[in-house]
Amino acid sequence: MERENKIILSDIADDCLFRILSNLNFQELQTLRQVNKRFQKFMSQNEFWKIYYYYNKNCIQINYKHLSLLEVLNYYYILDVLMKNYTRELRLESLYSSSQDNQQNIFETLNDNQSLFWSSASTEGADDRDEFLLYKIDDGQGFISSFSIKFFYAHYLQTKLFPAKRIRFEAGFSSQYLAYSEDFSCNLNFQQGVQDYEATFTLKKPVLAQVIKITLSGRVGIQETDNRYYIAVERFRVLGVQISNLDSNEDQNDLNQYIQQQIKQKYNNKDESQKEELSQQLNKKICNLTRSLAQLVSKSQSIEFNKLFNKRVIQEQESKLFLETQDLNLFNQLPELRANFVAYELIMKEPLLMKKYLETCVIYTYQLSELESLVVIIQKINFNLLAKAVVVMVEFYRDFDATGDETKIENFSKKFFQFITFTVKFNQLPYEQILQQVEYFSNSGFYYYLFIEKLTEFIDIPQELKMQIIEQTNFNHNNKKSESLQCINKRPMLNYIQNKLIPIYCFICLKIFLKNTQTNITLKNQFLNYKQVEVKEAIKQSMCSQQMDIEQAETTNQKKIIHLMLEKNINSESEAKKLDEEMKKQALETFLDNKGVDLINQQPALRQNYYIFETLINNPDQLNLYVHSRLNEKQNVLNGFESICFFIQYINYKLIIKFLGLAFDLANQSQQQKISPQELINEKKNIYRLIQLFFQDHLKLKSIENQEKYKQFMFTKSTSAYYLFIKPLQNYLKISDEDVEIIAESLKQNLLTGLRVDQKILSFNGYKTFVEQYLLGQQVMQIFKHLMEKYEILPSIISEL
Amino acid sequence: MDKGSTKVKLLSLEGDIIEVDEEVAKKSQLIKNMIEDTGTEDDVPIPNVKKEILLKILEYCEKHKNDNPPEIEKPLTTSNLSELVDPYDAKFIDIENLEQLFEIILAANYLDIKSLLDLACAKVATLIKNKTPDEIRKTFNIPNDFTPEEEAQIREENKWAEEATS
Repeated sequence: MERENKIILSDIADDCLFRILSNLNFQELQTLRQVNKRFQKFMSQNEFWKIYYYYNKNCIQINYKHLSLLEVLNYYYILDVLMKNYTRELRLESLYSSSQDNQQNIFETLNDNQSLFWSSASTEGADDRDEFLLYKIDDGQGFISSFSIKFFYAHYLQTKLFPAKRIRFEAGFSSQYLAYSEDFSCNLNFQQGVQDYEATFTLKKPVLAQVIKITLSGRVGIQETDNRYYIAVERFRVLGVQISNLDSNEDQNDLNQYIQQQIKQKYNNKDESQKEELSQQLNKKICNLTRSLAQLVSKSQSIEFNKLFNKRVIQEQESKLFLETQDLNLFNQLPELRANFVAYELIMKEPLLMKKYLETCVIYTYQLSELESLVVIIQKINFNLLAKAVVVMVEFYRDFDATGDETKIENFSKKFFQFITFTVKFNQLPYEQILQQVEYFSNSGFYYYLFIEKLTEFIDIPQELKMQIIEQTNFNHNNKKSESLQCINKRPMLNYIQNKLIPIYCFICLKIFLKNTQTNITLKNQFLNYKQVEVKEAIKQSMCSQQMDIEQAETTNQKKIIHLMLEKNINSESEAKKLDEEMKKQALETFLDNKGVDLINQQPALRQNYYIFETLINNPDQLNLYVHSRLNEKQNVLNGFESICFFIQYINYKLIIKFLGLAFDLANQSQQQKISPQELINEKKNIYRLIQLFFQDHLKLKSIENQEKYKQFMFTKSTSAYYLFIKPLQNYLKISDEDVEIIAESLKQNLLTGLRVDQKILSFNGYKTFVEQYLLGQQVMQIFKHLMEKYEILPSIISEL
Repeated sequence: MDKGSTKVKLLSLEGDIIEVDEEVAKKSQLIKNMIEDTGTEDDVPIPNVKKEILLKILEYCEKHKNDNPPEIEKPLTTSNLSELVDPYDAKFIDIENLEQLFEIILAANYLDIKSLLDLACAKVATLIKNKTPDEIRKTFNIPNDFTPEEEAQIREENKWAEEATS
């Protein structure tokens, strides 16, 4: 017979060989490896295990990617041995029940006390509602082979038993993704009347899981007092193999208990010393097996064993699982489960996924669950703006010279809080049509978490600060449940977020940032690229933002050239430009050559001084030099022009611009809300007022070195300050010369009417206050007003800072 | 006898024509597809399968023309197939001649008769089950092509699991 074997096993097509081998268990496969090279190689190919699962549907699918063939075989082999011989009860942690009657908590299903049990809420009909119980394997994961349920048996009632007719067992790594599902029906006849009946259900194949969900449907027991149906569970157990390195005392105790039990059952006839020896052997064996299995499991999950339960890793795994899942249901999800966060975070980052998910949501419900609403709302928050605001505020504060003074920080943060409350509105609601159909949102105690997480996408927040913020914003830490599950209407929810949550979180963020004066808080780069939105023609885009500082100084003022052409009767523009250059140079030379050049009462209209001024503004060193030489010469009194020149270098233009930019963004934001023109005006007014408030209180000059030295000097208020102030802004702001003129003009008007006495002499401190509170506050306001009225959309006025 | 049931003419490797009921032939997914494409008028060529094997397979198809055998539980818990499948099937596949058994596997694979393929594969698996490598080699007439060093190495590799379980 054998000699006739022309077709031998090696001639068989691969897929047939797969089929043959799928009938074998792992020990047999291991033996087969030793037969010849053909088998050894065959099992070493990458696809082997994939196809093996495909054919052998009862085999638990392990992740074999990070394992060698041998390891896979061992994995299965050890698992096989453990599952066949040493399954025991896995320690569980109760997570959640779909409902609860009085104090009859899910927790009671895990202890052996017969009088304590979990009870569902009641229903009128037997099939009105399914109930579920959610558990987690304590401190890790395990292979589950079977489970058992003991329904509550009430001695004192006429109806004794409160079982369910059907049970669905689901298990997986997160409550969203319960990869394994199997349905069972309960043999109720057998259970009725038997007090201690514990129904055990064996799974088709072992399941590696962390989370277990038991869904109970179909009621039987009626409570006579209210004539309503209940389901009550006294004890729930899961049997299998725990994946653990067995170093906790709890684990060891469990194991020892199990071993004693085994010995009692199997070897009770042996004497004590034999028993002791047996128990030690058994302990060693089970420990070895469990540890080896744990190592392989962890390796298959591609992580170090001790990091197995590391949050991040599990999260990543879950995220992957989540992405692979098409039709998942996130209803009734619990924020307590980390897994949900991960899922939701993912959804949050994938607007399309979110949309898809919401669409399905709306089909089934008029209400969004806690985390769903959280995600929806978070998506609407304009984080880009918020992050900018936070960063600007932090910089602002730093630039005021304020050190970590508690009360100052408090005050500043309060102002900021106000600011945020009034200004940071939601983005246009995404998926508006979908949400119109949703009536209720759930209020969540977990906003702080997602909020801060999201903010870190825009701001670089050091890890330790982040933890601090999360900790401090977690107001409801101790009473999560009571706070978190209120349902509120859509509009109040939006108000709540906008007026309460965002400002409070920002407030706390800011406070923490400010206290950490050492830490640098920066916007993440990619978000610094302000969008180039169409700007009215009036704004010239001629300047290249990178070379702003240098180029601005060199750029020839078109208007000036035309003036020059007219004045000097020149026909060619280039000639005029040349002349302009020459005059500039000349002015500079004159200025540099002649220390004694007097700029008293100089009007910017006078060309010579204009050039000098432009030169000075862009040469802070020379300006300094000039001003100081004047101080020495003029016996402690600087004229108006000089005094503003003295202070202008201490104005923090960058900050002003940044703040203006922020204000513009805010203003535009309200414009995009599609509100009525009247509302828009009010909105704008509100923003003016807030900015004014802010500038007056906080826009301080940069610290002036040697303040004491200058105390003796007197300064003259200047009428041309308006001009001097606005001009340097051009270094930072893409703003046309025409606009500079217009703004300067309106500032002049404002100053003339507001300040009759121009030539008043002030002390150093007096002048400083004047600049800080009047010039800066007023002028910035004016500029802002002008720009905002003139341009509908203006975010691109900000150049690279 | 011919109650309108259509006959199909199958052409074996040797060129012999075997006439069977359409519904029996259709147990083969391959033949089913071919009939649907070209009708029952023409002969259906089965050039890969010997007449002897084809007849054996058709015997199985005739038996199962009205049912689909349940899937065989894997991994096999015993090497006695009759404990796992229908007694008829166990007897049917209990073939001494290994070459014939392999030929049935190849033919069932070619003709795409899943339940037969599974049955035959399970049969081969029972011959591997509970045997040492040497016994397996003997059963299937497989030469040992490992060098003694390689053999030692594989044994060493397997030791790991043996240690863990002992």
